Amino acid sequence: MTRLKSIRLRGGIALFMSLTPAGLGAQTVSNYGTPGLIDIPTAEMLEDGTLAFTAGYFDNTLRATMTFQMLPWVHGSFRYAYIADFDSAGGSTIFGGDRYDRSFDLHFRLREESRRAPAVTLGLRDFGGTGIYASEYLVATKVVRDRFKVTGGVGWGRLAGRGAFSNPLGAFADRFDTRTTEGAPETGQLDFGNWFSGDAALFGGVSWQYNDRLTLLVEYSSDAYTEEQANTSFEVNSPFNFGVQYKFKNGSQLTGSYMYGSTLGLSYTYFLDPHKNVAPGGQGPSPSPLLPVDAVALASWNLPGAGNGAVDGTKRRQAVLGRYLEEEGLRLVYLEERGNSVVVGIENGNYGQAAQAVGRTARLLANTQPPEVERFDIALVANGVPLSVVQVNRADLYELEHDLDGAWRSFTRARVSDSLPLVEGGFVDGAYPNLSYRFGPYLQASFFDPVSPLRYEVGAGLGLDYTIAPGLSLSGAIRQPLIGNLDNATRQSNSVLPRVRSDWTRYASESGLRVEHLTAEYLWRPGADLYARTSFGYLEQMFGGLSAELLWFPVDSRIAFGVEANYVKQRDFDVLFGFQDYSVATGHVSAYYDLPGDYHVQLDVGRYLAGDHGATVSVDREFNNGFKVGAFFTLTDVSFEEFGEGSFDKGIRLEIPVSWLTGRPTRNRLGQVIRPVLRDGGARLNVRNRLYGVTREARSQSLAQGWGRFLR
Amino acid sequence: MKMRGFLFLIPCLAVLACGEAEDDLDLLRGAIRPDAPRFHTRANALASVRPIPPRLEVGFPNRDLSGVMLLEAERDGVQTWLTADGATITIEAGLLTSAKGFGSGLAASDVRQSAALIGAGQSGQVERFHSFLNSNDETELHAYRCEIRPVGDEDVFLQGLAVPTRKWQEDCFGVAEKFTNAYWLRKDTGRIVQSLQWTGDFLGNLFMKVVPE
Repeated sequence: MTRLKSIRLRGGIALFMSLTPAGLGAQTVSNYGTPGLIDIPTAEMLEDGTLAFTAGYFDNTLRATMTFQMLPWVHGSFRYAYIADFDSAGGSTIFGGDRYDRSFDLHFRLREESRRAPAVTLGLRDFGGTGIYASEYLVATKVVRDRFKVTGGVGWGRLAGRGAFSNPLGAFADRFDTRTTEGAPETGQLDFGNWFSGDAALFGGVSWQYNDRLTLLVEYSSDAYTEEQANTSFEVNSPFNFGVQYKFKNGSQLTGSYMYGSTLGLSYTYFLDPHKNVAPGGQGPSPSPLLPVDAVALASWNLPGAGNGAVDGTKRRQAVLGRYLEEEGLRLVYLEERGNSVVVGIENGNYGQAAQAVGRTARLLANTQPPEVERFDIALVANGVPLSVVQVNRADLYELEHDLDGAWRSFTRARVSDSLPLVEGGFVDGAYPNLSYRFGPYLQASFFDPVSPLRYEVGAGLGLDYTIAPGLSLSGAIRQPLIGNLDNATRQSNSVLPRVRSDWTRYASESGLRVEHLTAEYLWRPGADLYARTSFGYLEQMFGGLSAELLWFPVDSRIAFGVEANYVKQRDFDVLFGFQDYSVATGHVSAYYDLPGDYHVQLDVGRYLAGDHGATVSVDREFNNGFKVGAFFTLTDVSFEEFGEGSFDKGIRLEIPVSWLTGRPTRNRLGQVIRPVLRDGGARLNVRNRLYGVTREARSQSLAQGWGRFLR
Repeated sequence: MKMRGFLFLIPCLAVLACGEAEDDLDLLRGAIRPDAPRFHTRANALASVRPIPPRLEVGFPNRDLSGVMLLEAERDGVQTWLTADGATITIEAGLLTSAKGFGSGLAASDVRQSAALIGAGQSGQVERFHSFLNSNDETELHAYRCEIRPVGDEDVFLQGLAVPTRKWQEDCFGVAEKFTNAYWLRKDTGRIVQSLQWTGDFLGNLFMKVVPE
């Protein structure tokens, strides 16, 4: 694997070069789905940003794990494990005596490998959850003579099952001496009290890379699988595990192993690097080349025509420009000639990066407007509301079209500002009212129901948006489920809170054709840097009512603040037009911060749908190309006991632009939130068109991140 | 699962499965048959121009793809050539400077030193620079040191007629990449009539050959 490093050249140009990684890149992943040998961890890290999906199987255990290298020195994992007959011995008949277990890991590299000293990593495995895999460890790994890697570590909890000795940390505090065996008091809570407590044991192993494809693994595991031995037929006859790993051309790994002197194991890991989409630069049509100014001047629409001179010319230019923009997937909604500049408003229905929409518009303006127009003010518009304006000088376009660093030099010369006031007469004839629609398949998935860990529903969806006037729109969407097993879910909610989400199985099973939403919405600008929204109607699948929002978001700011207030009533289970009795006033104050680098944090504080008060923290890693990986948790005044299974709301989410998968321009995205369990505490209204999401693509920060596509 | 309402939906879908939905269908087609031909509006318009604009035979030997491009525009000595599906390349003094829409990411190039040496028919060492739009929408600038030298005389067949040329080769080395370009220059005019030029790691070399008017 390679990583990119940059050096500075004269003139401040960044030169990227591919270099061999200096640090320790993970070569093997264990059947826990984290860097490791066979069953024990190593101190290795994955390449920054990598997602690793692992399925590991041996004897009566199946583990499916997603690991994300969220920082160069931190990776986190979510695991779903199935252990056959684990609960049978206790007489449990729930789920046939099998155990379905969800667990989270976090690993921190404390020290990078150096020439003489190993990398050192601290690991927290299953730090919440039911604690089946709960263990903590310090592990060190060192590469010896290129192909050998030696790993040694000390583990607590599950990893102190064999060869255990008194906890050396007991010298610092008595609490380290003993470890409670019941795990966290409630599922889903952080188990701080047990971390690094109780006995400790040593583990270790080596790997030898025979060639680029094949690696041999040997390890000594201090995990005695005590509970599995007691409850299932699994036997541990030896602490030594042996494995062979094969690396495929695409980088994925298949590991076969002989484990614990009793069983064969198999695991497969697929790596996905969000930095790398299917086609660098994309495969969609190229932008129009800039025509010589003389040729533009002589274009038919710029020649004096018959009839009413200037007005006639403007209309012809507008028609040509509108047609060209439409071919690019852009909608011209505003055009105003102001002396030697032209102001246009466009709605971007095609490009994931707004900078690309701006670049395409600028070129088409240069190819259509008469030579005396020197400046283009391009307003990015959503539902008739201007979000920001990018000012581009015509001369710069000509000068930089073929420049080696044209995109970034263009950015230094462009000016992004809060929106210009748009005058009524500037709106293009026929821009409003406007009807748009979408029709296509949809997929809805639900995970981790023990009866059927993957539930899904596939159907057809139709969405309609009718923008009556700038800012004012009617919107609706219907869905018809066609196939799937989502509606077969039989788990009944046992929630003691108002069942604002946990009755989702009833919504799935008692509905057919659904009205997903049906709303009237008004967006407007109450002042500089301010945006406002009101929505009324069936706001989402489970709630309808009134929603109002105000957002402060200066165009060049990394920070935004918003406030949202809603009064909503729960919809009937048939997801048509009726309501149930439950209603609630809910709302939040939100802060958003686009951190330097790829990171984004959001804090929402307020009242949730079940009437509970609390806060949600969300952290996302957002790649330039639009790929997002994030995690969130919500803590409210609902106690862990009242919340029920999981103790509090938390989850991870993935968002993948369709263009990342196809290489072709589209704004469509695939998104999936993965929650261990969907309960009623900390549940937030899913209202559409929250202002931060609507406005963010037009902020300087987002435009800058996508500006590489300005000339694409 | 209840199916009530579905019968009502079907005629709606039949009526509405057009317009903007075409974008999605096009996307679906692209996913199912990525190599299926797509015809871009600009290419259709250009193909209807008379007299026919100058043409260029092109191909990616690595991908076993070939076709014809039409000259779409020329400004300040840079020609933009267009494929039927809307991808473009730019050429300056016969040397490839960008390839957009193919997935190669070659955004722009500074090939002035190479062009000067080849145009003068001289051997020597030059520097060339390429910028790539990478998979994460970032611009990468790559620098190369290249050696240009003649490698012999060859006939190039243009519409069946043998044209005597001199073949030049440009061997380039960067920090992590190396590539070789080849140019066939007409002996009588010194113009490049055929070439094999590097577009980046993703697609490799692009073969180009002029089509006589």
